[in-house]
Amino acid sequence: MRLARRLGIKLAAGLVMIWLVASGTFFLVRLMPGNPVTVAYENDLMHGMNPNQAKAATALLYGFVPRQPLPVQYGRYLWQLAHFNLGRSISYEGVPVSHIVAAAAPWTVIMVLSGILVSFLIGVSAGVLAAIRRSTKFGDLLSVSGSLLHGIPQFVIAILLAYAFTTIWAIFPFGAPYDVTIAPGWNLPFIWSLITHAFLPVVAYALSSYGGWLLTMKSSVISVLGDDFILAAELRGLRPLTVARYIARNAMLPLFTILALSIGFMFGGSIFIEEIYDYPGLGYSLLESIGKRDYPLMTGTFLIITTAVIFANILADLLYGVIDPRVRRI
Amino acid sequence: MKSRRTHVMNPRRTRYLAVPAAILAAAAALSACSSSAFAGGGQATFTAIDETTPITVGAPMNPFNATNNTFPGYDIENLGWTANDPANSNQTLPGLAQTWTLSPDGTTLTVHLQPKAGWSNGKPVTASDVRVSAAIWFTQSYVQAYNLGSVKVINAKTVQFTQIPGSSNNQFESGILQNPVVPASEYGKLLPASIWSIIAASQGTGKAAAAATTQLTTIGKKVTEFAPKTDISAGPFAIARINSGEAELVKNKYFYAASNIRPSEVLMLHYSGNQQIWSYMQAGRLDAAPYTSMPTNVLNQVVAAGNTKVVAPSLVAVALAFDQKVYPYGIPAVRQALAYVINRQAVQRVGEAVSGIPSKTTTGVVSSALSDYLSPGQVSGLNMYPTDPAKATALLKSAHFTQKGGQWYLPNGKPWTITLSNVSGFSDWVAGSSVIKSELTSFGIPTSVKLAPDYATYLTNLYKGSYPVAFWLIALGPGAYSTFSRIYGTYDGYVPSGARLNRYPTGNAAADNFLNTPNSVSVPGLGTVSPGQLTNQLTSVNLSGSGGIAQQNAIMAKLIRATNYTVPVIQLWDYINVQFVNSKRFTHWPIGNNALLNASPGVWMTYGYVHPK
Repeated sequence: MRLARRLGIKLAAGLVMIWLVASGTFFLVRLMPGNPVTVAYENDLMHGMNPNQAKAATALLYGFVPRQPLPVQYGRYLWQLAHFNLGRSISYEGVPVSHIVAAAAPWTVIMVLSGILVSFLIGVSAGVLAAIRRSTKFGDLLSVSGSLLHGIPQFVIAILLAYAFTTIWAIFPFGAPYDVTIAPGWNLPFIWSLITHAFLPVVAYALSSYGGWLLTMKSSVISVLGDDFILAAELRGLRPLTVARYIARNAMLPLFTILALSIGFMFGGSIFIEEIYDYPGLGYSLLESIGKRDYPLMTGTFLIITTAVIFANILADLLYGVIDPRVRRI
Repeated sequence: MKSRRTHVMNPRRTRYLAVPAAILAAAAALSACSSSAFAGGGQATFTAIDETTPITVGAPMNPFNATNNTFPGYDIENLGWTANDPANSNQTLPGLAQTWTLSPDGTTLTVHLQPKAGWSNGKPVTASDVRVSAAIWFTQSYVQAYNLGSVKVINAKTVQFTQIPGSSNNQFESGILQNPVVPASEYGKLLPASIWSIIAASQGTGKAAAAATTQLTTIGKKVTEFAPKTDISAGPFAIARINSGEAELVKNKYFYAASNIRPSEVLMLHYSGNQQIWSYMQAGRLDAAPYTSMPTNVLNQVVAAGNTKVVAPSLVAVALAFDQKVYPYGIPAVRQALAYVINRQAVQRVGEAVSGIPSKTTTGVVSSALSDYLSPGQVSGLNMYPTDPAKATALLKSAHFTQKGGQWYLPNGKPWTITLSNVSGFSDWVAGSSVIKSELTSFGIPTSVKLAPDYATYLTNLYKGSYPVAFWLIALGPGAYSTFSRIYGTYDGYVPSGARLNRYPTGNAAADNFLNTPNSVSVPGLGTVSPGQLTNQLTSVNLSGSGGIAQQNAIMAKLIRATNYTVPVIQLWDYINVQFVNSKRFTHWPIGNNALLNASPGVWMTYGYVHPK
């Protein structure tokens, strides 16, 4: 009952947050200078269309640009949102935003979750090792690797990997979620194609956040190692595995908070990673929509990313109580 | 101890390395298989990128949507393809239209379809398909500007297009022929039975016409939203599979020139910018790459990877444009002086070394097209504006500018500084502006470069009149009117309305006017001319009639001379169409065929080019 009440409060707070973000982005994106039709026309010219072709290609766009006063548009937007309708894209000339977002979202989710999982597992394991063997060269090496990678911006790692493995040694494919000549389904070639196409973006994510996990886990483990309850457990003659479980469970707590926050960071990072690897996810769509001044697509994509982050945080908050009973008692 | 550790660690290290090595090797093997140019049985896969319609996540396979996943020349077939003739935009290469005739008055176009043309589902392409497509063109506002009035099916393979009675649009031929044809079986259901009555009503006047136009727009929106489940193509290929980054197109065996098509399939790749195209080329993945801007060091890497540079003329140039409403840019001597200060060769060398050539002079027309409009004598009579600081100094002094301690001062005594406006991310423009900044500053006019964060912001500020000196694309062809409309058209406030030519001031919603040239200018040897009126006259010259081209060229000669003398813009470099082909897997490229090189490789194949090795 208490859990249900907590969940209800969290969800209500989440909804308020979503409304605030939706309203903020609605007005902010419309403050941006630029006209979707003019941009589309000039971009077509830039891409080699002649004036007649460009005019034809953009002639109907006018009809998709909202003309009503802003408060009316806002009211309509909220009404649509309440009905789970994200509106219709301008640059896609009437295609529902939900359709575009649904086509792009799986690739971002796959990449972000894989990146978080890989970096978390490797970073946390390396952090434990670095803490336990902190007086050895191996421990120092791990710590230095974590510090170095933590200091390099995500997009730099992504560019270096892309240049090395898609240009100099063209080992990994890029620019698509999988090889189009393979029929999608539960078959090995398709799954392997998915993995090879997502490999570099996921590695870029993992490398960029590995250092953070390692350093946090290392300091957390070291701090727990010095706690009295560990000494008491050892003095009572508990098995090393049980002691290790105590250490891990207590050292993980601060990391769990960071894990929830990192989801937002990773989704934000998808804008750079997807652009660099030409990977067609939400970040890529968001960037494209900004360039084209496609307001409904901008707000829709941003809202989906924000909602994912808010719900990830709520989930993490609830799970935190499961991991740390002290939180439940409060 | 040390030796034991070393002994123990080495095999482990080898094992650690073995895992990623195996993954890399497997990935390499798989990616090599998946991107192989040749499928089994000697079948050849042609790999390309379509620059005008990059694959976009969630976009429909519908050519009428501004963001679509179709590929002109491959799975979308027009009645014809522009030949990119600078002087005559009506010059068209046959597509689905095998032949056509235009009546002497230029108002009736009779099109004979390719007799063997078929859709990829096996049905023949008929005149009814073209009529349905034409109705859709109306809903998309493709043909209203060319005064198309009615469309009549003469027989199964012949269609007749007629202009609205009383009108005479000289772009009618190209305006009709260069449109896509879609299957009536798929798109016909989107149109109401009364579509032609609505179209006819929209061509009238008053409330009924306005209501009909609104109806057409509503139908047009329904058309753009349409997402066909399968791709039914009249082109050489049809989309078999598509994801958000790649498309696989297979051969359409019912294509009218199927025997000319040698590749068995096409793999279309996605891209988001020049860097991706460079990467694909450096990796040897592309058989043909579209126009791509690049610095010299990247060009060297691309060529070293086995790609060949193919060059064709491009009908576009970049210029420094002046807002003549802003003091002192309304003074002709000031603009002429700046043209003498700027070294166009140096600007092009830094700005667009690979895909540009320095403009011979500043005329509003790309240098390669000057001979289409002018005699050799007229060309040599143009002022070439060589870099000449002494002439610039004399011109400025004649306009009462003064120079003290190396700094130029305006006649009102204030120091003269210039802010060059440009767009962040447009690397060639930004690099070019750095050279201009340095040249002008050295000459005594402290110059800075102001970057707009993106193109949308740049255009908004430009049209608001916030940029006195800004980069601007000009000389956009093909066609005479298109060429000068970038200077003396909408962007100078001129908007035709029926027989009248209106002129709007900067900031008016009817025109994106920022150039503010005078209504008329005096040109030595030419007298007083009105560039806006002359440009508008280009729309009504009957190019199909005898003497039409000569009449057009006479107007163009006046405009070129006026632009050369009054310098509303300083033309910096002409772009050249630099494409790349890779001959590792295919051969027989249309090198030297400038008309075809402007079209997509799908059209090259239609014309018998591109053979597997």
